[in-house]
Amino acid sequence: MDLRKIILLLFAVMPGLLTGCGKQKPAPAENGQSKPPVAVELIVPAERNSGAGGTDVLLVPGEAVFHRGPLAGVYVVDGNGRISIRWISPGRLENGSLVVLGGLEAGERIVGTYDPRLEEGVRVKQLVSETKEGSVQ
Amino acid sequence: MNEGIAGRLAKQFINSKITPLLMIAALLVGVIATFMTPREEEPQIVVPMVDIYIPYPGAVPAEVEERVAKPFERSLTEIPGVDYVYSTSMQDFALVTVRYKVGEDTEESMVKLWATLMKNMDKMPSGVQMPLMKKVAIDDVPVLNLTFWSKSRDPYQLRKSAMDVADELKKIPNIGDVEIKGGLKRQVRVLLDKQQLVKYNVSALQIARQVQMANSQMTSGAFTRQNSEIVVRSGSFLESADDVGSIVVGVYGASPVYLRYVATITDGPEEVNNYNFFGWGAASHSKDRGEYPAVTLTVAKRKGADASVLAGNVIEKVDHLKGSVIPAGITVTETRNYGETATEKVFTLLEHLIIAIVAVTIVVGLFLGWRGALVNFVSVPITFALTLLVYYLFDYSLNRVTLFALIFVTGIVVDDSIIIAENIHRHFAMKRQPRLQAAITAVSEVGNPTILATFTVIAAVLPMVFVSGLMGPYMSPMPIGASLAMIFSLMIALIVTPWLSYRLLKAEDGSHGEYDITKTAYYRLFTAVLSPLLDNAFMRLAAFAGVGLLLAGAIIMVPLKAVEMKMLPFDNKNEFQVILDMPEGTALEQTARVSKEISAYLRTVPEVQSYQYYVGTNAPINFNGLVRHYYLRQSPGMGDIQVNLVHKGERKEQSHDIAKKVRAGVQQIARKYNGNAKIVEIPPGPPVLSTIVAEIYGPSQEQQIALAKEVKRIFSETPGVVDVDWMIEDDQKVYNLVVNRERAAFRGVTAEQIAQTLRMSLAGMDVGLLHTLNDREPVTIQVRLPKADRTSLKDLSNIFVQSQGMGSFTTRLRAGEMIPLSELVRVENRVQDKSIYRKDLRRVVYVTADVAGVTESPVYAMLDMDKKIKQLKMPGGYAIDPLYTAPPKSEERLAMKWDGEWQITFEVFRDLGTAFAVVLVIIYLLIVGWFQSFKTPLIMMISIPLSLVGIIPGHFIHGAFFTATGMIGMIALAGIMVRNAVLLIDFIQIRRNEGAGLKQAIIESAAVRTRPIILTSGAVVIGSVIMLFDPIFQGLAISMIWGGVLSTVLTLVVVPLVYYITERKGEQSRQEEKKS
Repeated sequence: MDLRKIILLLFAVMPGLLTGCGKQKPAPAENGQSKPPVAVELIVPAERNSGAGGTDVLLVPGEAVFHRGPLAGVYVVDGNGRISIRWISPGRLENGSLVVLGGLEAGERIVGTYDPRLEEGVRVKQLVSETKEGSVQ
Repeated sequence: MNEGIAGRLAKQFINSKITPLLMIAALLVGVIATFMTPREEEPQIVVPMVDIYIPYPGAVPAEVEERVAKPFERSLTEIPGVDYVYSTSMQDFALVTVRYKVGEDTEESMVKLWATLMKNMDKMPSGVQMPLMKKVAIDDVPVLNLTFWSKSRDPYQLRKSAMDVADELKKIPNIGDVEIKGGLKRQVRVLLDKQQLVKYNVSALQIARQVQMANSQMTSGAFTRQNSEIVVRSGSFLESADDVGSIVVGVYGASPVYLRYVATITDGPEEVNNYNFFGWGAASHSKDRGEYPAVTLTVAKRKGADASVLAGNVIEKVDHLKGSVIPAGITVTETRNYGETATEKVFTLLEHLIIAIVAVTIVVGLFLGWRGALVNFVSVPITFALTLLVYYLFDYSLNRVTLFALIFVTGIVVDDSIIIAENIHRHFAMKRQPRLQAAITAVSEVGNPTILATFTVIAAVLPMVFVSGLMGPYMSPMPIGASLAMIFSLMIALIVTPWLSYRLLKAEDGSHGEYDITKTAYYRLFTAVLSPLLDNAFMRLAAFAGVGLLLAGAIIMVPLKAVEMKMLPFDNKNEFQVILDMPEGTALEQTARVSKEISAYLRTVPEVQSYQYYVGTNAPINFNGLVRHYYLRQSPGMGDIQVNLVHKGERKEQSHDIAKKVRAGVQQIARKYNGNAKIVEIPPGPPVLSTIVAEIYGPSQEQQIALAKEVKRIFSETPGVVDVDWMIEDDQKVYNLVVNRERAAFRGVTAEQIAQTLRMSLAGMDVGLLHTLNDREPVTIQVRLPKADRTSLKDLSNIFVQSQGMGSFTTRLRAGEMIPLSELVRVENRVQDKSIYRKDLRRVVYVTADVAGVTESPVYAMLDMDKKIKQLKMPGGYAIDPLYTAPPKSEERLAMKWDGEWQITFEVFRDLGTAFAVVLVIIYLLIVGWFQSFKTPLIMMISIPLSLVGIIPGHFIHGAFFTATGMIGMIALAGIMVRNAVLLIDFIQIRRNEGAGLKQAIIESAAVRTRPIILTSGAVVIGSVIMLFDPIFQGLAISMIWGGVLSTVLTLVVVPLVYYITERKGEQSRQEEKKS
């Protein structure tokens, strides 16, 4: 009985060892919580507007959108000033604003200009006060 | 004394040299078999299931149902072996699913199905396209998932690397399907520019045709010249985006119009059609709050292959590929490894097995000394070695069910050896005969009733083979394994045990006097307990009344819900899934966003190791998802979140409790966006559509939906019922562009042209392949409008079609004129027709739910809801009486049937109940044959209901459900308890035949048999203790432990008493006979 156990153990340990090699936890990235808010230039709400075609469309500033390969995203700011990536379906550009076809709702606050240093979960605050913000909230 | 088979066998082998050789040989083949048997977690289940996709473009669901689904179903039910036929009729196509009976041969089923389909294809209406048949098998379930994720790479690059790895992995032996979930493929996109199209007078259809025609090459033939052949080839394939752009699609003025003039051509990722992201959870101790684009590579195994070996090989290979095929920056994380869990499960069970054997040995040692213990200890591995050999020969794999069967019988297989060894020990102690003779006498004395007793236990467990349906494969290894183990253990008890006992057992040196039964402690005890009961009729009555009360008290706990019934309890797994359904017509990005928000909540749960969400593509399926067709979850409104928990050893809470805990939070987020989220756990037994399913039948879909709405409301109002959903799509807005036929005809445009142009503009059309050499996946060339140009009806209206002019025979206008679609079509706002579901030729609407919290067992929730459903008023003035076992006989009235886990519960308990009844009859027959009496077997079988006194309160004490495994325990216990009674009464009869008085014989036999009875029952009890810690097999342990203890104690008192009462009259005449 014991012999079987030992050999089975070897069997079980082999994939176990390999698994151990395979698993690579990422190095702990810096935590947004402990850091002071990052200053961003602009936080604007996504606006509902009547587009060029006469139908209602949702607009965000063109500079707010960043691309990861084929994916397009914006940083959405939640009530606590924390940002998270939101993937959007981009439509056409209209006067420097981008029509958002899906993924965003009117009134959601987004970081107005994309900054590559920003990371998911980081808290942000605005440098310049923006008048539109108050009216939406 | 008559030696019988047992005595003769013992005589033959007790001094034979063959005996030790047999032992060693048995051990060796067992060890070899263990290694040759493949290991996996779940038992192998062969349920041929085939999905048939039948496209019928343009037809609405009702038409698809009537013309395609119905005729197909009718012909499919003719095929022998078909268990269920389901169908879903949707806009444009029907999906028919055929499920064969468990165990039907897969290949044969496919052939039969194909033949039937072909036989009926000529009856299909024109427009129905060739059906696509897809076999769905358990081996399609990936055993290993590797998630490729990266902080810097995008889904396009990830998919490419994953494809490269997949290509390499395919070289590993025994590997099955390798698939990639998520990511974006390479595609040449031809994005049409509407303005330019009009300007250059080129239509979309024209472009498609030109690209198709330009992309051709063929071998034309060969010249023969000077004894050699020169092959002639013509044409050339499109090999790059530039090639595509340089296709001439028309003429403008006098110059050619190149495709690049009228469209933007990109070579790169296809349009985003899925979101697949990976992130770490709270338990990973990673402070990384980000989530990263991911692609999952899934690896399935070939049938019969060992999952753990395959997983090990794959991981090793992937490690080698790091740095070369897998570029830096891409991390590969293992997100599922069933090989590892299988090994772990098998390992744990083996460990449990060893603990059980050791525990049993210790118990035996306490009674018979270490030599006796050693005799028994040796017999167990030999028994198991032989059983494992049979597993291997029968093509069973080592999985949780087959191994569990071994643990289950550990306590039972030692019994035969114990009985024999104990009796030899007793005879040695008596010192009435020389050792060899004493041993043979001892074996002859108990050997024959032991054979009978073994067969009663086999008779008890073997009928479980007849459990039908999906539960069958989960159950059948148990009776087969247990029965074989019993037979082997009997053989070992009769051959090996006497040999070992003769050599190992020693008579105690202390007592040199003649053995006297009356001096033993057991004898004094039974004289004290049994004498007053035997002598005093009133005391006897009181004792019976007491036992009767105990029994009644135990049974009444079931209707009082102190002990609840359930099919199987939840296992403690390392994963669960969240299934998110957004209202139909929800955009991909919106679903992604809700999935992300739910994931963001889930990652904060302390036990969550990692998560991955899949939107627009399904998560890698498991066996549950296979049955539930989760692999079809690929529409934009559907999201799957795969949650991996930390290993169960590192957390306190069971996965089921964690799932219960997060449910409210998850559903709150989903509801905020009008979505419906369900927490899906891996079921411990066979998967079903949902735990609770109400099937609603009726004369029309409207009425069915109306009733379904009511039932759904009742579901959501009932406490404990969660995850309520139904299979009715939400209203989805449809723009129906109705072609104005006259106007179209007048302008020389056909309806088909319009339809094709629209389809190409919106959905896009693959017009060919780019002929590249280095891509693992085919690169399609797709013509489509850019996303920005297809957002509203207004965009659609300025799409142009080209007049065919006189070629259309309906106009005399010039060909080639560009006509705006808006001139030819009129827009109707409609709501998408609902899909029509059918099951076994009846239209059905499903309302589904799960149970968690207040009620954990669907049966009680169903009974609760039954009352409310019966109160519903139907339009015809009749009430709905939910059905339990069979669908309604007619569809003229609305009716409802419970399904889901209930159906399997019902079938299993029905089959087990039938099995139990058969068991009782067989046991009765066996004992009648042995004792040549019709009355005695009944006395022995009294001990069977007595086990309930222990089993039911035992479940109550542990707060456990009475499950199918508990039921198995109860059935097996019936065999064991009857065996005890057999040994007891057999001895009474031997004593009486030797001339002892009835009372004396009873007390003596109780005293003599108590030790082996307690020993064997003790072995069963101790052997089961280890199973208490297994969530699934707990019920069986409870039955064996509590039922075993109580029943043993009661058997020792009640059976002799009943025997006394029945034999008292006969005894008087017998004594008188003797005197005369």
